Amino acid sequence: MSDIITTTGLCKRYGKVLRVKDLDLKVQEGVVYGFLGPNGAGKSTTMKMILGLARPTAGTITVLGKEVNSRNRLSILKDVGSLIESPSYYGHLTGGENLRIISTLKGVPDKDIDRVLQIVRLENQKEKKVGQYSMGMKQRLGLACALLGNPKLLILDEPTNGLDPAGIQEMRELICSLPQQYGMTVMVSSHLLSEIDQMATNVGIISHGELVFQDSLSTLHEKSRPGIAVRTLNNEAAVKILEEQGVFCRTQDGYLLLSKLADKELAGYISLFFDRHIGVVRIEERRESLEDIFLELTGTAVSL
Amino acid sequence: MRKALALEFHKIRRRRVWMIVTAMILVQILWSIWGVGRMDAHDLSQGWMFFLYQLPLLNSIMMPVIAAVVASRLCDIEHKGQTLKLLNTVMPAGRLFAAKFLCGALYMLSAVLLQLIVIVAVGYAVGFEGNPPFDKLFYYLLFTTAVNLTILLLQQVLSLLFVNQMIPLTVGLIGGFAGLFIMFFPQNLERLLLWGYYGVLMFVGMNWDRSTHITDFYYAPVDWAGFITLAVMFCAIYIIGRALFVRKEM
Repeated sequence: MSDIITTTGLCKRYGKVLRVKDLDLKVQEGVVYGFLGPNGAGKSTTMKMILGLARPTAGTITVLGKEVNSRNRLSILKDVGSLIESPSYYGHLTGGENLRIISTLKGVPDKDIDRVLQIVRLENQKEKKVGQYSMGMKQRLGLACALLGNPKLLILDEPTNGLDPAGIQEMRELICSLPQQYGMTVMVSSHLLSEIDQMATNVGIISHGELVFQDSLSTLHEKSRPGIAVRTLNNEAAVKILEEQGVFCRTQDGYLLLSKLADKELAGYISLFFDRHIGVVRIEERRESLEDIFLELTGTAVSL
Repeated sequence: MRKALALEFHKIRRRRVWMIVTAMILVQILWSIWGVGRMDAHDLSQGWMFFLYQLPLLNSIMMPVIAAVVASRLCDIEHKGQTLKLLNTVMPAGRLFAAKFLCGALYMLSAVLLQLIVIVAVGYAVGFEGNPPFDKLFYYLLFTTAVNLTILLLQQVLSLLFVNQMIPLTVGLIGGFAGLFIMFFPQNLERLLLWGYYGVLMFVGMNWDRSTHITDFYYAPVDWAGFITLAVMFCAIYIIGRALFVRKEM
């Protein structure tokens, strides 16, 4: 698979602060690329630079195989749909009239308006003024706008912001369906790890303007180290026994946490507990959660 | 460009921008009826000059406010819906700037054309002496439009750069008052202020005889140097304002 977006040494300085530092992104064609990072990490700034809404201080951006500059920016963006931060709309115009403005500018036939309205399920609200739309409807209209002309690439910045749980789920399903149904590549940012976990196939994690992880979501999951949690009726005595055996463990919430052990080795320790009359009531396999990994990578508390 | 201009008109549907222009013309019709209603034979003999003297004074206070409101109505829709970041991905910012200006300019031009229609209609209705001085009316159209468009351009730049529309509207209001006030100062000072150009480009003068209380109007030579200075101001505001807008990051 070829890369649809690549950035090399991308930097953005605001005043004296370097908001984006040497970012080397690679977004493969046909994936949902989750761009994850805490608030203020530089996600929006990066996406704005890809769209040419902010000028990079250094570095290069290649979109759809062409290096973006001020001359070819708009011709490249003909194949790109975007929704940056909050949706853009004219509140005094209807949903249909709003879409007509963008379809005219993009040179897309009018019939495409009905198609995108159907995709985002707003076809019955077409004649209603956007000022009267709910936040979720505005967000869906923003997505419809981005979908006009069936672009090859969609850049969506926090598209579930301000939506209720049902709206979030609907938006998520919609985004997930885009690569299969329309052959689009989607780059979607979020500060919510769970959201990216459910939507993306590839992940880039940004922290303080730097890319700290970039690979497939499954690789991120593999990073989670498995461990064993044992609960006994006398944890203190059990810890001593394990220490005698040279096994390091820590206690947390009434559990003894051990690193991954071979089944035979674990069975040996458990029988030792029985021999010393320590009752074993739980043995669980545990994996480090994605949150823990995120925390490790970014050093920042994750929003759930 | 035609597509972009048509879209500007599409965008301001239901915004009732034309109401501002109509309201101004209504005020001016009322003012003309009040003004010409008290005219005697002497006044009627120089009725055309009376209008061409009085309207620039009226314009210097009203037109800057209209330009500020028109520019603000055209630009604040982009701020309210945060549409600039979307438009910037589908059209060149310079074209948007030009299309907005042309849209506003057509409103300002139609305001002056309506004024001319009112002048001619009132003149014929009341019976001003002689035919309408079409050459002078053309100068009036040219100069008033030139000042209007330069002020509109400045207002558009401010309305696009500032999200808070109180800033450009206040500038428009203060500018209008300053333009009227500076007419009482020497013309060299008047040339320094954009809003003073309604006065600079006036080509009708007035003599008032203290003893007889008779007012006489006369045609003064056109101040072409002032017109060229205004044209230079327009170009400077356009180039700088457009560059500031195009370079603005979202």
